[in-house]
Amino acid sequence: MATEIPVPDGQVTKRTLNFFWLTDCSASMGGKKIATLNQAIREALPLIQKAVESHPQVQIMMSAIKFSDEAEWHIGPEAVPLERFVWSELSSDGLTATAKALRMLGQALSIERMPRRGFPPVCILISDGFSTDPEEEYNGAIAELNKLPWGMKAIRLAIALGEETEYNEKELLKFVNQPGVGLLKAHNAEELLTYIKWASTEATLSSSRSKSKDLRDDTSNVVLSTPPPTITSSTEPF
Amino acid sequence: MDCAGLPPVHGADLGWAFGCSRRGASHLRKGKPCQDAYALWSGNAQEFPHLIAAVADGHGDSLHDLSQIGASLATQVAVQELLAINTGERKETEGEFSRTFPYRVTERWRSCVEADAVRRVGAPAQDAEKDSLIRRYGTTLLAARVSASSILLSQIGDGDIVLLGSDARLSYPLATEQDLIGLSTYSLASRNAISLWKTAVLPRGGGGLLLLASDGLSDSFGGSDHPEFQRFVHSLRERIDEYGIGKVASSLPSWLSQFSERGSGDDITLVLADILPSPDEEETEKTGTEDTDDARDGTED
Repeated sequence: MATEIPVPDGQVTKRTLNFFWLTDCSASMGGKKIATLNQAIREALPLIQKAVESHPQVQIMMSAIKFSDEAEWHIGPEAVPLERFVWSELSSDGLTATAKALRMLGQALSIERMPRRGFPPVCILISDGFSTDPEEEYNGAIAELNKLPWGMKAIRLAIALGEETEYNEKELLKFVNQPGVGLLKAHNAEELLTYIKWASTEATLSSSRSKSKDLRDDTSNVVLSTPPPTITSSTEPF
Repeated sequence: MDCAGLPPVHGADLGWAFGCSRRGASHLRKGKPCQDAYALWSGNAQEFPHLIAAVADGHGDSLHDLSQIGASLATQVAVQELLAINTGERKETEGEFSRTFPYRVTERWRSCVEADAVRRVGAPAQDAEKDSLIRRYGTTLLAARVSASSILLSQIGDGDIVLLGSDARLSYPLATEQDLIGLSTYSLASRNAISLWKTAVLPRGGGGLLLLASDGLSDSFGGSDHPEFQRFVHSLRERIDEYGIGKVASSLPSWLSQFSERGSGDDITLVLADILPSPDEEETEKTGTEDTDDARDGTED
């Protein structure tokens, strides 16, 4: 009988897809908004898992940044595999340090901290207000993201909560790099649930099935399909 | 190409080489073919022995739907062009390799692609159409030639060329492009392909284990610079030493399939060349050993 040769050593791993939640926890997010946000993210997790079942070569690593007076890791900086990721309840208080959160994201997306051969990261920003950081700081953080190789390659989506006069649409749109999707506007809890689930699953799927190779002289990024219609049965705003 | 591992080829006085391409797990699930290719050549050219290897990884998505043909053409062109250096009709020196090889391979590959495209879809009407047609054949290419005194290496696009020296030191003779992240790659189909090559000329020296692999392999171990990939390369050397090249060659198809299934999901091609030390080096080593012995003697005295 032929001798069975042991497989050579070395830990075999899948390619990584880093997923970042950026969640506004300012005082204005209190009550129904934060409760729906917590519920929506929890409900989205098994949907994401199911969505990538047909892409078993992908390992999703999840982390979350929360921001109010300051920005800090809610889950991280060490990302957690999706199958072990548990969303812990967010509470709300303080201001809206969006720029600081974007700076943290920029640091996490640096070449040194990301796997060089990963899938395009997914970054979802959820906010209901105006950034209370100075405008230059906000624009600087966006410019930094736009310069980073992984910042450019990432699928960046934003979900705005509440009435359109209550948040800064222009500001949030600067974060979004999917012109076909634009800013996702959730006027009520039902829309927020829909958008969080859609954005997280669609972005993850699009990243996972991104072209098997993209040539360096082809600068196109992953492009998402159009978001679901915003017609809901709910008439009760936040 | 999805081979079950062809028998190793032997380059007289140079060493052994063997290779294998396996269809990726995700390709199997989607019913896509293997878009990698490899070629090995061994023999005498102008009375000098040569061992030549080439690996290509076709890009594979819908924009590059003929990339398995592009990959196969690339490996054939690489072997022919490496064979022509300093032999046959072209008396090119190894010093000129870095300057001329990228140009010759790129141009010849494009000609082969155009000829193939004419047969398949007819001649393109305009240059713009020609560009997108060539893009359908897009592929990377890694190539190596081992001869009596030197090792010539060249690469365009992702994938790995790794040398595990006889001193167990692992090296990457061609630098990694830091701007290539994610699934980005340079390609023979890139508009400025000639300027995207990396080349190196190494002395054969103490020989060692040379690996040419498509990116599906190192991606299954966290990347080419990841310690787990390096552990794999060292372990491969141990398997060859313990079980022999023939047994490792016959196990390779199953190993690569496992790596793809549990790792990257991508096609994987690996060519291994176990290069013997050059006779000069062996002589030097002998002398060196004697010198060391002398020195030790001197210290002890």
